[in-house]
Amino acid sequence: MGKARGLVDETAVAETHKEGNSHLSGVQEDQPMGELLAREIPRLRRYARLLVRDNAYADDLVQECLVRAVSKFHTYTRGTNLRAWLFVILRNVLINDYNRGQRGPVFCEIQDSHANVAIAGGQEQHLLLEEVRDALDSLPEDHREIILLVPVEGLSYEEAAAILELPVGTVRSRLSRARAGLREALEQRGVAHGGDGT
Amino acid sequence: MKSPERVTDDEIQEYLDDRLPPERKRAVEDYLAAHPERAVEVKALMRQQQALRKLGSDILDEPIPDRFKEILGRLPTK
Repeated sequence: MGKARGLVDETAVAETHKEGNSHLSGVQEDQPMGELLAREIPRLRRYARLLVRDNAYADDLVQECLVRAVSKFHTYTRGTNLRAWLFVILRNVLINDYNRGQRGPVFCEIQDSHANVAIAGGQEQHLLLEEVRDALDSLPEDHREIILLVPVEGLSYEEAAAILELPVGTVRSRLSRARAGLREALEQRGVAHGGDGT
Repeated sequence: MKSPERVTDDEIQEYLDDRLPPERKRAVEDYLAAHPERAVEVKALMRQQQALRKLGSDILDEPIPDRFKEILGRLPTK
């Protein structure tokens, strides 16, 4: 569904954010590359897991992403956006799998034993997040992905646009539709998520 | 009381994403105070946003598997 699955050039994406308007650019020039990469692993895992909903496969994607990142590390320019660079590599791994027919459809219909989204902080919150995750899983893949990149990962519109190879205006409109869709999905699930006070 | 400024849908979205400068944030809040129906919708989206920010935060706390560390160990040391 949606746009053709083309691969994105991660170096170009990282370069886009050389000026670094965000929290992502706190890369120390002299920090060992291994440490910089290690710091990004938890976010790569979260993104992959929420996207493919299969923990083992998600970690395989992260592993392949790291292998590629290490092998082409000379193409990464220090001071550019490492997180965006890695997210593009991760997406490209996923897209490659899809194009080779190893997984398909890439992002959806896995729905195995519902992945565990346990979270610290009480039963009520736990339930709510389960519902949110479930509603999110029901959205079309392009909507899910934009939600994972912006509200969940906290990337800027510009970063998401670079990763997805879309104009910023498209990111905004897609995000807006995705939000509305998620709200609707939550309402269908009877989640009291409206503005009915607390 | 002056009537609240018009705000755009884009600004409301940026409000949800916490990307507005303080004066525009106030403008959005004034606008919502004067438009209760819109405020209901935005409030729902805001709760949704708060839940999304926590989604998968447990994953961030998981220890990094050794097999990942091993891959990073292949990096040339400068």
